[in-house]
Amino acid sequence: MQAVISSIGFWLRQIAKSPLIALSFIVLLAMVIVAIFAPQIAPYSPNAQSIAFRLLPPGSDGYILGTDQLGRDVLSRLIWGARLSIGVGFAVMVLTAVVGVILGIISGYFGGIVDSVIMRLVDMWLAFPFLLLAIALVAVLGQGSDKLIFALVLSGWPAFARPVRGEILQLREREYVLSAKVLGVPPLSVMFRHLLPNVMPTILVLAALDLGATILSLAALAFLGLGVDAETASWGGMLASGRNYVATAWWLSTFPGLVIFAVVMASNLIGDWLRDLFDPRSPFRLGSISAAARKRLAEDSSSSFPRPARPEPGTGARPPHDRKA
Amino acid sequence: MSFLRSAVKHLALAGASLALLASAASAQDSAPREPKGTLTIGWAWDPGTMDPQMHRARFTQIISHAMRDKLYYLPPPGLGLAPLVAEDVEQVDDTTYDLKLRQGVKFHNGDELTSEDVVYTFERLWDPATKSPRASMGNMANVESAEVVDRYTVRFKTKVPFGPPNQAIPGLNFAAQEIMNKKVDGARTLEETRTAAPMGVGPFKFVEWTPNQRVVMDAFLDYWQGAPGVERIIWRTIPEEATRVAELLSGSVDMIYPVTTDFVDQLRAANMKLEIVPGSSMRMLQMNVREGSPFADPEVRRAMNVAIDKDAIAEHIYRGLAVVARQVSGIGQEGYNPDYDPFTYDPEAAKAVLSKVTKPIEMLTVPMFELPAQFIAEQLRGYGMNVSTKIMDTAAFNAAVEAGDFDLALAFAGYGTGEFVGAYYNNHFECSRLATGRIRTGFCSEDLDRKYAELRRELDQARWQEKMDEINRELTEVHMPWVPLFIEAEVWAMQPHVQGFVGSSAGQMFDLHKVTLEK
Amino acid sequence: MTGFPGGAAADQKARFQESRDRPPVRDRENRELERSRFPVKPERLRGLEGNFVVWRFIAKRLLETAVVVLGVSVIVFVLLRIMPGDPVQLLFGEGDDADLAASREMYRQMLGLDRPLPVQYLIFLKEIFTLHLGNSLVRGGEPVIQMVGRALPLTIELSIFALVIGLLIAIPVAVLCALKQNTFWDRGGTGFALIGASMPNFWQGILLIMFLAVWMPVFPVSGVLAQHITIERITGAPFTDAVLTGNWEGARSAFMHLVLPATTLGTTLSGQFVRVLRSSLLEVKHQEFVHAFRARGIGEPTIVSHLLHNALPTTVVIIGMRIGMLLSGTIVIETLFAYPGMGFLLVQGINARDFPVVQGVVVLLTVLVVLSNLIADIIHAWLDPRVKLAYQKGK
Repeated sequence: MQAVISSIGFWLRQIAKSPLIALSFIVLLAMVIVAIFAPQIAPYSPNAQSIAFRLLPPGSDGYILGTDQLGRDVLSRLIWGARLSIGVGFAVMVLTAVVGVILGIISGYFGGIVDSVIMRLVDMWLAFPFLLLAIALVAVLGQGSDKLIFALVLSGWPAFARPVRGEILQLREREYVLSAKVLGVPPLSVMFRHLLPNVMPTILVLAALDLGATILSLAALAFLGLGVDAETASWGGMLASGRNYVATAWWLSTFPGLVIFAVVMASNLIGDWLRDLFDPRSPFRLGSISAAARKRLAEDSSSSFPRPARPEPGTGARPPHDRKA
Repeated sequence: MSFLRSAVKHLALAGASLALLASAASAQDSAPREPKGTLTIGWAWDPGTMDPQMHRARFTQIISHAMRDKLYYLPPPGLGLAPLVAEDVEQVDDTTYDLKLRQGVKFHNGDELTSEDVVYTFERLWDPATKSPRASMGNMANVESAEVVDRYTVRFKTKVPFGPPNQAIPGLNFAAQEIMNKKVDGARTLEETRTAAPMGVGPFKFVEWTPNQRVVMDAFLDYWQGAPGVERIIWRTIPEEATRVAELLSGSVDMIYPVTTDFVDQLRAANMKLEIVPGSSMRMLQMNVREGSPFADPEVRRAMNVAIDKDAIAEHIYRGLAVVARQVSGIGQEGYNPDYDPFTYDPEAAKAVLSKVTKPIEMLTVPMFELPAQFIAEQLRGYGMNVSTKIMDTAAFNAAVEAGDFDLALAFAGYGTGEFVGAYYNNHFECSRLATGRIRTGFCSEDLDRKYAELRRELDQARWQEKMDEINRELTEVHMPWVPLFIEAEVWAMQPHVQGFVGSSAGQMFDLHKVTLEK
Repeated sequence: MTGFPGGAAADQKARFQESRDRPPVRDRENRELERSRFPVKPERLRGLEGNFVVWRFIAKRLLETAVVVLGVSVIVFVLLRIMPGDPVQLLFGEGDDADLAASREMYRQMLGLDRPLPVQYLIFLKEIFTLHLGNSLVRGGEPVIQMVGRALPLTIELSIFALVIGLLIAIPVAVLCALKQNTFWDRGGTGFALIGASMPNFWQGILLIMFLAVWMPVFPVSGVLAQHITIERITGAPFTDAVLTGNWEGARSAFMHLVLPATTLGTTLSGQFVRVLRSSLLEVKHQEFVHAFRARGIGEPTIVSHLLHNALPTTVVIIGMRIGMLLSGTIVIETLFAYPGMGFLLVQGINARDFPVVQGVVVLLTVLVVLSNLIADIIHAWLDPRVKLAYQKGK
């Protein structure tokens, strides 16, 4: 089963089942390629101003998508903006996942005071307006993509920590975990070798959703003037500075807006699709299990009115993706 | 574009000095008006308080001025001072001034304005219990008292000589203090005055205020300058400019303010009327002149003064809605000389000097100046300098600039009262400010301070003008702590049927009673 | 913009999963889990005072709330003080005072800003506990509680409308997805509901204004009410008050002004609602009783309504969690549509470095978020028969 899941072929087959998902992957892949090869692809330098050529509509004079208020090529800025938005997006995604997952696992595994403290921190974070945090951090630390990453990770880690903790709470009572404890396996090992792989599906889903959310947050921060410095091209920045020109120079905001929309939609769709694949309760959960096993699975992991009481844990089928050590 | 330049010339002549324009406000218009219609104004702010002494916001004054007249004001469009409710000021001796009030001026409740009300206003202002942040505006810290002489005369005594009346009045800060009603406001607590209907002598009377949403005021038919042209004004708070413009285009508001370059083309295409006057806030590059800064060398500063293509900024980035500034004194300000143009744009000369500046420079600015900042940075980079822009929110920017924590900043300095010697000199050039933490460029010249002190003592008008010109010249050409860039216009956009509205450089005092709606 | 980036929907789902994955009470190892979340009676307390455990549970949660509020108060206090920028400096502007420094210093003293920071913090704490929340530094000393009293009802009403719109979009879409699962309709439906959630809020708002208020003047551009309308204040929320006082013209005006901002917010929510509704509908759908209904020939609509009924607990939990997010997430929308709610207040306060306002708003929002989560949990426990069942088993 493990071998099957980790084979590329398996994934490709899954993706091919849904054209919308395939399209989403293509969009994301395209953006990553654009981001990596920006210097080669962009027709002009993103910061090359030519004030005489300001606000040219798309298609004029070799400027495929037009120029902005300082005469800079919109297409080139869009391409270089991909570098920033995708770069920051992935960086935030990875770092938030790392911080959030670590704290979530610790919180879930140890329980007690540690759990209480970390969960209270999460509550505080959830109640605190993210924007205030971002504004304060930018005001103190200044602008710059690294500071933005810091602000976004700082405000985003609870989104990983809490669900991961929830899963850990469940998983830690499984027999193999208990037996590992009894056998004296060190906690760190238990957490990261036994529990982490089982939480991976959740993490993947959250990560996909987080990418989209980060890009939207970057746009909102740019709207409030908190983005990267003015000269670095960023999708959010272009959208924000173009917003007053919607009726007169529509290309300034429309193209970055469409691009943001495409990327965020793609990551949202992929996130949902991943969730469907991994959710043990979902009927289109992956894996070729017989219908009978699937039925037992549905029994085991869900209980609802007016079903009889659930069986004791330890009887009945185990979810197939629950890997043993 | 040329409209603005001619407006500038007109203003420069009108506002260059503080010459008192006798009866600039006529007592009664020839034909009595019938107020008609409701004027809806979409603007970006909320007054915050109805107490005229508990705020320092220029925008609050816009609303306040419609309801409460002052002793003097800055009649639109210029920055010249003119009497409003006062008639004349007489100097009795070195430290005593007698102010004569107009007779027959009525409050909204029918009371006549007397010297008791004026004295009450100033005493309330200076009363420590009021805790007014305006108590020391101008030179009021040096005003000792205000007394009633007779029904229409108020005597002001100062602690030090204030000079002839035209110099004394700004110090007495008459243009900024709205007259309150002794009986009505005297009976209210501070908390009540904050929200209660203002009792003033202005052309409009208060109807309601829904904070952060709208202010409604009705015409005061017995206004001493005649009944206003509209029955009612509704001020709607709309912070986002795109939304304001949308409201104007959809016809739900009659006027909007402020309007920036972004929307001017769209508004012109939609046949909206634009009222454009030069503003009263200078935008400049402030350079750190202290040791260790790349701009410590006057030659570098001179090069900077010829390095920027200011005309391109005014023409392309501001589409003609800004006037190039070529001297430290702003348009319409004291000391402004329209023919004075010491520097010409010379990229070659600039490059020769600036290419030797190696230190990486961060140019600080606020989001409002994002575009010109990027343009300037690009130009400077063209000369071989290593310049990047850093955008900060206004509060953080103000803190950094005041502390002198910068090498280069695209900043602004307002001169809304038209004065040079007041806000401008004290805040930016006077040596004593360094001790109080207002460092900014770090510029200080004892010699110039001496000349400034002499200027303040000068009583003869012609010699005063000479001395003022010299100070302006020295700052612009000799010391050069700034690169004056441009002065943006104040722009109001309105439906074509709105008539009679004149913009104001000072941005706060409008003759709203002259506005009519021709449907 | 939603106030909480990252997978907030995943977070909801996780919380929901937490409560649902709970093994039955008989499992001793998990009893601690149970007790920490819901008032389930352990066996040995059978027969004791009925609601003792419930009160203990509520008390524990309230204690946790106090800890959270305290923590947030420290964070916001410190953040505001380390941000560069001084409210008095902003207030005085460049000033033409003869001695600006002296004027500012005097004013700073009047406002109490020159006192040592720990003292200022203690004063802040006192203000929280006396529910007074201090006075604005820049609005002529207006009490913060008054400012909040104006802003909060507007935000709550806007949020409720947004929730309704979100559900109006999400429920039909989720039903469609569940009935036609794993087909193009399923993915497409989810995609459709996600359109609003995949666009930056302010862009969506600007487009809505342009298309539905300027080019086709169906709705007003911005604001709370038409300018000639006054509504008697009962709760402070315009639509509610208009309905309560029978002011139908006012109600219509308030409603029209709510549509565009609420739609911008609601479309953001609908995507997340669809996700959770769809997955819970799908679960329920595959259970035996549904097959049994079908076998008996009971029609689709009845089945659908049964599905929805079973999905109700989930919805409640989500709404509970959403309220907190909405209250703090409307900043962009309120600025764009000139709708002066809590987000507007917060931004105004931050720009002016109006410490008491920002502190007061943040603390209040925290309390509201935590309390609404608590209430949502209680309602969920009450609604969800599984929890009831587990509860009864303890008897």
